[in-house]
Amino acid sequence: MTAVATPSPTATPRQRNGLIGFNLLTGIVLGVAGWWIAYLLGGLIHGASIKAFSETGQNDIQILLGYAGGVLGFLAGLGFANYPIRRVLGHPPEIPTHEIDEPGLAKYFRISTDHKIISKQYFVGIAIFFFVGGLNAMLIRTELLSPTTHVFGANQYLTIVGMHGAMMLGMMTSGMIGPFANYLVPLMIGSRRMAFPRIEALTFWLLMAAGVVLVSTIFFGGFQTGWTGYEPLSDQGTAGYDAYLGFFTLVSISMSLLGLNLAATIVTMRAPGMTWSRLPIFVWSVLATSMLMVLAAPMLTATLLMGAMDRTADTGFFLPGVGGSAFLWENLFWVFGHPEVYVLAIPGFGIVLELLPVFARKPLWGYRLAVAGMMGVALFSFFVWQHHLFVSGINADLRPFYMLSTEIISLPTGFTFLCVLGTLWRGRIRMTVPMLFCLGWAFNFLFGGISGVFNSDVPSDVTTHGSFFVMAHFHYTIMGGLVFSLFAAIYYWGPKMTGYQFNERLGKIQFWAMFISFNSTFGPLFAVGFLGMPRRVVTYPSGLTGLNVWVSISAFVLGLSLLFFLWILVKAVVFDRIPAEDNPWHSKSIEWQLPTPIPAYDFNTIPTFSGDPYPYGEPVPAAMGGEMPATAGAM
Amino acid sequence: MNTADHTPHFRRVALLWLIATAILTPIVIFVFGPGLPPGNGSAQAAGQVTDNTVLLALSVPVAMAVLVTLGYEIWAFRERDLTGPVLDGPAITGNSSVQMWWLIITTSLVLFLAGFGSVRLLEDGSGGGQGPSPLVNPAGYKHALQVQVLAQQWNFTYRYPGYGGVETPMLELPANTLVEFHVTSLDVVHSFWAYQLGVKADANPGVDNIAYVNTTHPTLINIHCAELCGVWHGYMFQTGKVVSKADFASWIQGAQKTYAPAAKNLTPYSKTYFPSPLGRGA
Amino acid sequence: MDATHETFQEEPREWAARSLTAAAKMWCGSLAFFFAAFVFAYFYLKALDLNHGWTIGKHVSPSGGLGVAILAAYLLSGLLMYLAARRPSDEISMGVAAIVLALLGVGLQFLEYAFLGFGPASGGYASVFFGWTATYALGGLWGLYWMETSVAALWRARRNGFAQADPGMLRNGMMACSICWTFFVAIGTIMFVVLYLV
Ligand SMILES: [Cu+2]
Ligand SMILES: [Cu+2]
Repeated sequence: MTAVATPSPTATPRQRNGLIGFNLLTGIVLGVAGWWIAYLLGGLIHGASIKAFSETGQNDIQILLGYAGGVLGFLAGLGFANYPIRRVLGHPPEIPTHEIDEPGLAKYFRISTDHKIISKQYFVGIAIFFFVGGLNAMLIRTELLSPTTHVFGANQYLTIVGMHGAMMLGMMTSGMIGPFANYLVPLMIGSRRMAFPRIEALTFWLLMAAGVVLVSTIFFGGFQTGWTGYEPLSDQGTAGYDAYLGFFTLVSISMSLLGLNLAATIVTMRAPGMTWSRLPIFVWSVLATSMLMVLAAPMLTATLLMGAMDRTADTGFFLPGVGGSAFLWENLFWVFGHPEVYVLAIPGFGIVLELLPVFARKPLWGYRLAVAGMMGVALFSFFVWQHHLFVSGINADLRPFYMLSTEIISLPTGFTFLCVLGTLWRGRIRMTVPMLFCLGWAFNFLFGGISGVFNSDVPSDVTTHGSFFVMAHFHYTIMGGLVFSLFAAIYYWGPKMTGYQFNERLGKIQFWAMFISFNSTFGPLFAVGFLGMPRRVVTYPSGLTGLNVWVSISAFVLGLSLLFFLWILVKAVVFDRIPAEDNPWHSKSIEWQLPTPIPAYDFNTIPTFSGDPYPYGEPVPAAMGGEMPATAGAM
Repeated sequence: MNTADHTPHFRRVALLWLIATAILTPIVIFVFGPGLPPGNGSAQAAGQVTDNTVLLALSVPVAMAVLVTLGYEIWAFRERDLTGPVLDGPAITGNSSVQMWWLIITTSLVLFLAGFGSVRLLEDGSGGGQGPSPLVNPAGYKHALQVQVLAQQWNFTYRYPGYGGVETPMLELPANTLVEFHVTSLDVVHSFWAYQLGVKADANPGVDNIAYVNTTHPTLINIHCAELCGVWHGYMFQTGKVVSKADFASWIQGAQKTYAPAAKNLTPYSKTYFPSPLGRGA
Repeated sequence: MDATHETFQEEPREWAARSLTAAAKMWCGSLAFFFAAFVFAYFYLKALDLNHGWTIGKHVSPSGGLGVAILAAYLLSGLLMYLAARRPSDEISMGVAAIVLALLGVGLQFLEYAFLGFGPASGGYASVFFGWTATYALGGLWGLYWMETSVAALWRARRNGFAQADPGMLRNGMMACSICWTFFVAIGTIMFVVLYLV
């Protein structure tokens, strides 16, 4: 017997089929109970003893304790407390066994430690909150149909703006790697599981709790700070801002644990033969992203705790009158915030570079360059944060340095583009739906990158900073980059994950609808920003009405194109149910060599890897190609 | 195409790129360039137009290099019959000279951009907020017209320390004058954005954020708050004016008279203000 | 591929151990960045000293005595945990001592708050002092949990004569725990230097 029970397919699945037991229902029940207990306890704290409360008549400790109690109750109800309690009592560590594939949906509503089930939980869970965030975007565009307020009050409007931003930047950090890294990394490196399957499950349920906490802000008056939560405005915030604090604290914890888990898995659990130079490029991108998450996210946790203490414990980190500084928040937030945007972007690079060889039927061009590019972006992203603060008055003398470091990031990003172009060169390009989304990524991200140069150039940024230009810029990189590559991944691996074929023709229609409406939405916003419209305003000069109406209508079409995808998914999985082939794309990577759906234990035997990671292509005759000689292995 | 394909793809792409760039770059410079923001309301604003034009002109060859190649690849290397057998392309895994040239070209572009931006910034400060001790002091800054911009939820007011610290609810500036803005806030972070002047400077509580601008000719100025500052942020806008020196002189005299009763109750002029409490609920 | 018991190959034994050690080292990176936020806050607010608010009131400095006692408790705890992970002969007694000392460190921290003479509202320094020491104490509680599970597993396994547990695996757990705990104590030392001496 060993201390660490290695997973074995013969292990009996725990009998947890009833409604009573550790599942989502008990989680919710204990979560509500935990909220009320902690909330009532918090109410006992005397308002008079804390200056902040007597000034505002608002007991933030009560709300924050309520959130903490609710989340702890929720996790305990799901069963996350069982193992720690056993460990405290001295039971040896054990690696959880996967449930043997049991039919039915019950397995999705409780803790699972099978990376494939967790990835599907992530997919659906994040889709729900992506829908909420998207709905917020639609509401924003509805309000901006006219230059004055007509649908929402100013407070409501700002809450919607803040929820949209926080939802998208908080939840979507895991939007790509939640579903796809959890699913693919253990398959691609042959480990069959993540290093810490229980923590893998925890990151998902923490994120769900976070989403609920954020939405709960509407019961407490909303928050007016946007997703950046600048101080000392936040400190004025009503109890609704406590939801923001709770949300991002949970997200940051979930992010660091997810990154830790993925990085530890990739570093230590590669199957025999899976050397660093054979690692699929997507796994490299996950590794780069994980490093950012492990290091940057804790900084956000600390910053949020400081903000919470200002509201509950009379400290003054961010209050200029009592020795604090608004600059402190801006610095700390962006030290986290800039790596964060690359947490969003880098997995997209990985997906596109992973898919192109399959559809160009060629090896990945410039493998080492691509790896260097993603690692370079990850590294440099820690040294550019003050480009968000060019006109803030912080360290103005350092602006030339931050201008340089920001523009240097475009070099490793450019590597990715070169690898895209090189991989397509002389290929036999198969225009499938995932391929269309990859090309859409290249188009959108190109304009996202180029517009970023305007923001990085200080003289130009004086006008564009804080305007709709910036907003258009980062939507081109995140919506046009991350979300397009996400759809490429969904159409590509979807059949493997669900076991059903997606309709190719409808997929193409969806791509074109989404691609055109996306560009028609965000392209004009560059002009809107150039013409002087600040971000996050509920009114604008009437001269900009035409452009704004155009943008709003395009945005509604964009929203419809996303709903259309939902229909494609439902049609494939619920109505048509045409079983997917094992390898419809003729891919050569390992997950496609497995049967669809993939068995609970992935592989019976740990695979041994050998040869090239992208073994496509016919051997190149030495005589061929005057203009593009093949130099395999030279970078 | 099979591996024995000798079509000069690379030369074709290069030619297409050259044509596209040669057509589009002049259009961008001469047609779009003059219309780029923020116009010529000040020397700094005009400088920003130059920067925007240069950046836009440089982004044409870069964008075209990617788009033309991508478009050509889609056109030339596309498998038109997806029903037949799946055939592979040539197993090219890289090309060290292409990679080297890419690196050289993009690096020089980046270094040029950073150098260009820094030189432009150091010329006249570009109208951006430079904090309490500016790195860039334009010529004659010691005699600049000082204007303090006071941001508070949800309005801007202005103090003219050279005119007894009078505080006015609207901004007027003389033409052909170097103006030294001192932007600060009484509560949360705001951002003073005077669009036509090409000025943007965050207003932070307790911080004196200095921005220089050389006004040129009389014009109206759209002023917005450009940093989310609470519920009525969207309503924090004004119209200011640049007027002739004579008009300014008579306006400021009038303002001193009009606001004299209010001026008695003002706190003495200071670079920063700490109204108390500047903590919660302030 | 049929998942039958006959053909199922178990994963290499060293994976679990190696991944725990690797994660422990990465966790140190997370800890470093977490507390770096407080280091930054300290020097940033001190340098700015907006509105002369770095210290508000007369006696905004903690008495050294309790600070030294807290630091000593953590340092000794870290040392004992370090030794416990490396000396299998008396790992349990040393581990227990490390836990008791860590508990003492956390307890003394809360005692210090009661006798501090200034409150969190006493300016920038006081904010950083309370923020940093309180989150550090929270981290100490987390460390206590980890040390307790590691030592308890060893204790129970030894009582059963290692009938169900692999001693190598458990010692690896102790080692991972000691990596993080000693790193945490090192951060505490920096905290002491910054908050009490600088
Ligand atoms: Cu950034
Ligand atoms: Cu404002």
